[in-house]
Amino acid sequence: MDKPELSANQQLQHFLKSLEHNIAMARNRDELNALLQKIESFGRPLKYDNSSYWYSLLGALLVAGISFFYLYYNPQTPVVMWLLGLSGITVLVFAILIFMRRSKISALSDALYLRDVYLDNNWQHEPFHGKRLAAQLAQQFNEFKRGNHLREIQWLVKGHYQGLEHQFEYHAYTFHYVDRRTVSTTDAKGRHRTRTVYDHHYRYGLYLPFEFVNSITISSSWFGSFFGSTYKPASTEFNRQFKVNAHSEMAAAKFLKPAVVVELEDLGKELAGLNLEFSSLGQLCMSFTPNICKWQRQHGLDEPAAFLREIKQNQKIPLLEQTLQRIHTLLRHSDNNF
Amino acid sequence: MEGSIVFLVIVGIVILTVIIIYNGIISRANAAQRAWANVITQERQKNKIIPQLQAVTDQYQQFESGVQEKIAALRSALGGLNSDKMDTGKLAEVESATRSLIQGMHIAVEAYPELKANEMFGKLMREITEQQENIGAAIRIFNQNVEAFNNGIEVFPNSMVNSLLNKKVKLNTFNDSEAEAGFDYKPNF
Repeated sequence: MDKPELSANQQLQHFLKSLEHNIAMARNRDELNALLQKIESFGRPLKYDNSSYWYSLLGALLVAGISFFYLYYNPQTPVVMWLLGLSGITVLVFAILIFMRRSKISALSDALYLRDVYLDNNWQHEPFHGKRLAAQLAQQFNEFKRGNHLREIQWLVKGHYQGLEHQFEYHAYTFHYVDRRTVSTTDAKGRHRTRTVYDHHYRYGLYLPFEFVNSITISSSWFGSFFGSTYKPASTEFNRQFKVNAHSEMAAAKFLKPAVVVELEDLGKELAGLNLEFSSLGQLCMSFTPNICKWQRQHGLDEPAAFLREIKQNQKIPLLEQTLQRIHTLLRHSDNNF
Repeated sequence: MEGSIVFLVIVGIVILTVIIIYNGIISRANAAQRAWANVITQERQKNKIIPQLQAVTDQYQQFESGVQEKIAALRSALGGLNSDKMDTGKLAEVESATRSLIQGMHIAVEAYPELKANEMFGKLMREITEQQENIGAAIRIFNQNVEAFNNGIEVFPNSMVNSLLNKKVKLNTFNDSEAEAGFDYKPNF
């Protein structure tokens, strides 16, 4: 017996289900490209035909409207009251169904775009526990000692950078911390009141192995300036932007060659609130205020041609790429060529 | 009584301002001097690699003569540098000699493929490139500090304090005349 032919919406539903599964499974560019080809060959926009839902919604709305007016002039009519209630619920149910269908397409577009961003930037998901990771990082870097109420890593990704002379693995993160403070106020009658205020802050950054330098902090704020001797290179511009603390002046002088100084001056202009902490274990944490790992999807699966064009472009994040290049320059000037 | 207090406060503020400006000029002059010494230190780093470069070039007799001459020219130019005296002309000579040497090394690499494969030569090329980057950066820092110093003695009321007390003269920034020669545009300051 022949299978009954599926409606357009059923076909789409099946397709989206398999797409959802395949996006989660796509591990490399080839698998993602195969997926894009599948979307292309589907032949029509990935959009539900919601006309029947809309008709039902409008019909129920009409019934609800008529019932409302009827009840306005004849308030004690139980049947019409029931009718108003039922039609109201029907309107709500169809509105939710339409919304869910739209959100599903949008969520899938997001997932596909995100997969593409991850592949273009050589990123990998890494499982982590936000509060525990922040506590671990705080053992090496003062950056993660901010906030007296809550410290957590909210987003983390592992990446790889291949430069001309060095390659390195790095982690990019979003750090969320909360400061709790008590505010006292006095009202017009002289009554004192205290309330607790929670200030939420976000900082972003990268951490990576940096074996050539250790125990140096270069900070644009007071943070991190807790140890050792201070050092000032020859640049007045650099000294205006940063404070340097190190376990020894010699170590700082050795690292802060002129090329490194001007690189950091430029980096400080690009990234507000920049701090660099080289831990005693040979790790670098570069933290700042702006989110450099940002991306914005322009199109979605409901307009497949434009969306595929967008996805096929390289989604490398320019400011992240530029920052990684600068880290590579720091590595190049810190290593020994002989 | 009140009038004399106001007068004393004003005099105090003026004296304090003059002291701050005077010290500011001194520290900016010192920063420029230090940045200059930094440029010279970076230039002298080249002395460290010259013997190694000579050792490598000795292995390749044919191209030795051209590059050796350039090494000798660089060495002599480096000898003329003085960290206490800001002589941007001498610095330009060293930079020109370095450019000429790097050019010679590139030509040698093209002519002698076996040189390209020489590990030490590769390291030396990398080192000299990094040294040049550091010198470029040190010059940028020097010019920044000179600019800050010049601003510090030319803006009002610093110009007045300088002409009465510090008596410092405007410093020249470093200009690479060879690089400038490539431009038709000449700034009119």
